Amino acid sequence: MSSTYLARRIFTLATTLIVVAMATFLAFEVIPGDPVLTMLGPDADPALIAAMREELGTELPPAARLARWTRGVLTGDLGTSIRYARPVSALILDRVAVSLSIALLAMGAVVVIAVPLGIVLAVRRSHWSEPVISATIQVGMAIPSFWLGIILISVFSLSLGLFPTGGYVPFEAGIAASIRSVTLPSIAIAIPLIAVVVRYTRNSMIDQFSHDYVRTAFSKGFPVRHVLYRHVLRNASLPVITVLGMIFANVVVGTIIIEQVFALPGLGLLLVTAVSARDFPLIQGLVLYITFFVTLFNLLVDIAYHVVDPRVELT
Amino acid sequence: MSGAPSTRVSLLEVRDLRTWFGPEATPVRAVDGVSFTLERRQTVAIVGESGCGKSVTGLSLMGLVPAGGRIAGGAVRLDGTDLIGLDHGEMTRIRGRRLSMVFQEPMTSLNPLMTVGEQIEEMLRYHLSLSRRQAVERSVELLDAVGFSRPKRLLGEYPHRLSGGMRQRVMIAMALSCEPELLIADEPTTALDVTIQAQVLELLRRLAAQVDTAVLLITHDLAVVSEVADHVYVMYAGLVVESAPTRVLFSKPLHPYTQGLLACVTSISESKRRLRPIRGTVPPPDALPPGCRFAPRCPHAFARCPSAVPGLVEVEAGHQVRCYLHPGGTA
Ligand SMILES: Nc1ncnc2c1ncn2[C@@H]1O[C@H](COP(=O)(O)OP(=O)(O)O)[C@@H](O)[C@H]1O
Ligand SMILES: [Mg+2]
Repeated sequence: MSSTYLARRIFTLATTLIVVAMATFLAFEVIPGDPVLTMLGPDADPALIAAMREELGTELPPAARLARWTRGVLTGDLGTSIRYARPVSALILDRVAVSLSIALLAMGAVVVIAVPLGIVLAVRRSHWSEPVISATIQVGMAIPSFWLGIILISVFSLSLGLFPTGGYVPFEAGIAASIRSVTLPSIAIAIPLIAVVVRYTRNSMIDQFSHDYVRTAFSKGFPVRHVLYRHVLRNASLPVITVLGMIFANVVVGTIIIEQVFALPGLGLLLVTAVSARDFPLIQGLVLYITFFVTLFNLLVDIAYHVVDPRVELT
Repeated sequence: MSGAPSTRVSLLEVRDLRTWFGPEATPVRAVDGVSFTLERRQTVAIVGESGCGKSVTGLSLMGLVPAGGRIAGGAVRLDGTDLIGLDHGEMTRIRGRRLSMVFQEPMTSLNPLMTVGEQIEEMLRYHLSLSRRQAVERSVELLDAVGFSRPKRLLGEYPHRLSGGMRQRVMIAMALSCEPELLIADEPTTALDVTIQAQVLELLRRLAAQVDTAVLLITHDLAVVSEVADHVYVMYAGLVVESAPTRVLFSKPLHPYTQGLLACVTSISESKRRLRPIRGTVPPPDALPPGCRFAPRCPHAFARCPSAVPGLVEVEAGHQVRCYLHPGGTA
């Protein structure tokens, strides 16, 4: 991997952030709604409304507002939330741990469960199990996370009492309790994605079996296990790595929804509040943050792909 | 060995091998009763146009029949042991060590994600229990033997950086690394540039001779055979149609198909104008003509040919032919 590659990828990352910021800005220019009126109510004192507008700069023309916001971002200042009257970065930092732990736990569950399961299902194929497996996968992919979340709460929290019904326990209050507080939401996000990745892994393995190099490996006198784990697996992992990269975006979207179900004070909950309050600086800040994580993860996936596949030159 | 020839077991004895594809009721008979014999250190060739069932024959010997195919009958005796009766584990222990194969497709036969070194070393370490260092040393020797000028550097290369000829030489080094008793070389030079075909073939022959490995050379090109093989089996549509010591086959070809193949070869060396390919193509095994399978393309076909498949007849010691023009012997 060359330094030009890294420079190019960082440039791409920056471009993505700019485009996403512009798109969000434009979207909120077009859709109706006024943050000041939303906050103070339509019957508020006109003088108060005017004063607040003056302070927030919502009366400025769009170009001027965008310029003001961009200048802030470039100096590391994401602005101040209208709804909460606090710096956007402080609001995000308060909540990022919640969302990140859900997302990483969900991603981890997908990798740890789906990949081995996909391998096993590819190796132990039989005629009768084929339709059962594909039906199960279809159903798994179609289940909405929020519904899964509700089911998980009613079974594991209400009936069995194994997990809290909601709320977040920070790391400082104990790692075990903290992980327990995000376990069910992570599972709810992970299950449909596990179905997707199981299918990918299984198909990718089966596809590899028919390649000539597999025949060569058998002709060299290796047992099935050796051929499978030393030869097929590495080749089969390439499309799986790609799909894991794509799935991270789904995980992030999943956290936004699941935080509502479990009343978790993460970025998702913050984003929903910000949107309904037309809290433009907060929305922009959150969108930037989320885009940054997704793009960064994709960069890591690209690098992982390169580590496995020498044919891809990262130049 | 001092035993009489009659009691000696041949290295490889294939009897009435049948490899069929597709449904049980209407099988596609890609290999339909092929027999041949190979002695130790011998080079025997199987010759025939594309689609005759040569590759399927080779893969059947290795126990690597492609998915959808099965060995429907016959025997493959390696040093007296019938390989067809062996279970998966027993066959695995024979592959690589006693029996190895170089495939027709050099571009896709190596693992694209493993270095050349890894692919040779794993073989040496697995079968010969060499240490890592010994395996590296031996790999360098092997790569040197197949003509690489910088074998050490090659160890770290991935296949996609090598040409077809280089990949095939790596395959040859790998296939001979455990000094097997028999190497099956399935059109080892067909996919290669004409300029290096002879070179790779010569290399294969020399190295096999060095480690006392017998070679079953599969090819569609009779020209290749004359230099290398001791004995030739000519295959057509899943059957052996003629078998003879190489010199005899070239001087006295009996089957019209063999004569047709030879006409192509000699005319190339003499003059381009006399190039006479056999008209038509090999019938696919699911659409075989009645009787002699070559009859529809045969310049000498007569009334009897479509009646039934002619038997393989011994016309003189070691020379057999399957044709109604030569009804001698015991049909
Ligand atoms: N994987 C397969 N599935 C079905 N039929 C096959 C397969 N491989 C080979 N055959 C059949 O066997 C015939 C002979 O194939 P092959 O042995 O590859 O010919 P050759 O090597 O002489 O060119 C083919 O014409 C085809 O009909
Ligand atoms: Mg072939």
